[in-house]
Amino acid sequence: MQVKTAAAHAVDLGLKSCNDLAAPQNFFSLCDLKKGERGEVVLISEKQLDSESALPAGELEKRLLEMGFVEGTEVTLEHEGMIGKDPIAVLIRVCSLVALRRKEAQAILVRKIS
Amino acid sequence: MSSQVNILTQTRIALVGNPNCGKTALFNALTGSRQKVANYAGVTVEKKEGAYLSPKGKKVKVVDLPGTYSLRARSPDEEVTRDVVLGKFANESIPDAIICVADATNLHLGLRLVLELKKVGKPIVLALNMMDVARKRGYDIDIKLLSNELGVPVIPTVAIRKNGINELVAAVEQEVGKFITENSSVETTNNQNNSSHLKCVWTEPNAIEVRSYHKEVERILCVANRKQGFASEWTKRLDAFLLHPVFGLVTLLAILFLVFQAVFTLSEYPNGLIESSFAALQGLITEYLPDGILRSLISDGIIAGVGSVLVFLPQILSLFFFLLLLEDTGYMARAAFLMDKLMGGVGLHGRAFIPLLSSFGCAIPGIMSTRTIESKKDRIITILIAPLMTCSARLPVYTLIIAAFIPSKTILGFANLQGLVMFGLYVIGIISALVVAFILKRFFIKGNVHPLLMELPTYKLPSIKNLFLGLTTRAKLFLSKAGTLILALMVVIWFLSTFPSAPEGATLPDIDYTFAGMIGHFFEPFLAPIGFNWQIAIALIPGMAAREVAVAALGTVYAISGSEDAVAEGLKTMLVNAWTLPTALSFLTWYIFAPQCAPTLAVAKRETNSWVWPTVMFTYMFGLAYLCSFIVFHVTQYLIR
Repeated sequence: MQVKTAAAHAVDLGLKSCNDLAAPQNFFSLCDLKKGERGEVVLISEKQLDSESALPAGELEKRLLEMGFVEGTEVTLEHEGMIGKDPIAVLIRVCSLVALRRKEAQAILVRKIS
Repeated sequence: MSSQVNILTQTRIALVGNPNCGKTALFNALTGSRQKVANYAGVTVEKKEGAYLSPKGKKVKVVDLPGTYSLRARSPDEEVTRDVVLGKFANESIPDAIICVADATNLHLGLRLVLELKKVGKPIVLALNMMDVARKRGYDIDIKLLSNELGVPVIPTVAIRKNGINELVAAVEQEVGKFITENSSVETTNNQNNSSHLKCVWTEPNAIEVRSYHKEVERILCVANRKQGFASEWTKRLDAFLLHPVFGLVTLLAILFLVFQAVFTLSEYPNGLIESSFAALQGLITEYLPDGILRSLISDGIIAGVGSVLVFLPQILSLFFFLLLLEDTGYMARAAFLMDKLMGGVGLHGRAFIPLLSSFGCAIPGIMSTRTIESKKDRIITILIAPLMTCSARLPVYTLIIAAFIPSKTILGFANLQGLVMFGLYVIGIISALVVAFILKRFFIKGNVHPLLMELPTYKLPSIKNLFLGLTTRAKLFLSKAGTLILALMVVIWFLSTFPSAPEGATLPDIDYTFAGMIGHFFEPFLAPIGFNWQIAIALIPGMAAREVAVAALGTVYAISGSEDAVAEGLKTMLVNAWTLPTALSFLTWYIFAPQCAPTLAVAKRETNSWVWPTVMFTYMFGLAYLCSFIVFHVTQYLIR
């Protein structure tokens, strides 16, 4: 039960920031990070996607979670592709380097850590 | 009671783990050479089974399942893992225990999988792999605490050095034994409270459940991981260069170029050896057997046929050596990363790059490894273009024609012209594949582009033993294919090109009167516009069985129709005299595109579960082959005039 409320809390926190456009400036989409910048994942939500995902609703969120993009995790944008700086490789904590496209990285909201 | 019977006969264990956790290395360490790969193996896509003897002398079967992050399958590949683990797979009994393999340097995802697997209700042992690397990188994991928190035995292992394997085997045996006693006691006492953890309560986790699994992992690691390690310095340094937007791509191209140059030059020496020993064998037969049909069958049919296929084994092995090496070191995923945008440009997934790269070895494992592509449409396109990648069976054809018609000289100070032409053939194959993919995606098989989500593993030194095991598997597969199918075909060709024999006082070469001659002459008018003579027409028909057969067929056709002296000079010299340069180039072009491989079509049928796609593949490839050969033939003819 305790775990569930923690997750729900993260969702609440994220939704607040999504609805309130004037609020916290230090919340970014992961795809807006620059090379070498660090952030803490605040929210995973498909609502932040520009265009609709090719996957069924909820699927991308689950996949991102399964790959380790979980609220509270520290991520660093380590590498960028050549064309359009896409795809990107993101270091999760210190252990796992994950490649994804900027399009999907939009679903990951982060708070910048300097 | 049924499970008790099971333990008395044979225990079955499933190996489950994230991709790149060293699962295959652990499988090799457990089973050694006692393993069999059903069918053509992609790297971990196919069903791999092996066995080991437990300390009590019981035979334990192990099945190595495709890597996955969750039992919630996202691709046909992961569906296999899910269905085998849950015992839903047709003709597969449910495993008696699960060994979950986790990378000790990347524990979060591995432990999350363990928590999910616990719901399956089978005994689980966690193999904490790559412990040596974890220690070196400063991790300090309390195995006992971790085991307590997880509720499953944890065995630290170093699979590539076989460390911890005995402990792992013992733990599995103990767990299976404990499970059975508990299970039967539950059955006898009918204890409802106790039975809950023995039943499968797994359901597909939703996002909230995945999050709570992660929280639990976080909590466990807070307790059991006394010290967080640091990232691999080597991986960081290498990636700074190898994933660099510009240098990374340049390096990728350079690596591919070097691989193909190496394949071409490395295999020259063993090739010469095989060639000369087969020639010696033929000489021996000629000396000891009386002239007649038997001598002709053995010397011209069997030995010539098998010899001309075997001679290319060194090339196939050296190519697979490099492919396995790239996979083992962790570079393959980087290649997919670097190629993603390019592949995305033609509407394909970066993941399509690996099946396509494997298709350089053989389109069959390539097509089978498309199972990691989740989108069905992307998968079909990848399958359709996979045969355009220059497979190793084309090498015999390319090598022969290049050696006969392209002078071996050094240009630009470093590149061999023959190697350069070879490289060019590969490039043409790749470019046409991309063009075909683009057209298919744009006009015929429209669909969205699926997301890329892929771990880039830490670089590892390749294990010689694993490389060797992988290579033997492939050599065996190629040889069994060459030994049976091709030999049979060679005898058929020998028959077709020997009977009926020429009438008394015939003026034309003998083969003109045989079945082969008839078939060749029948097809000649259709192939004349692209510069093919009837000998080529004959070689194309058995060449449908496998591309390399064409060489053996040409050998047989020319060896029989030519004079003794020309036979001695070999097929190479023969072709220089018999073919013009436009014909040779047209033939090379034909082999870039033509679907000269029935097994590929068969696999495409099986993988797409429909005859539609193999038919599409066959038609478009033949059309392309005819068109391009026509153009090359006439342009070359015009240029050398």
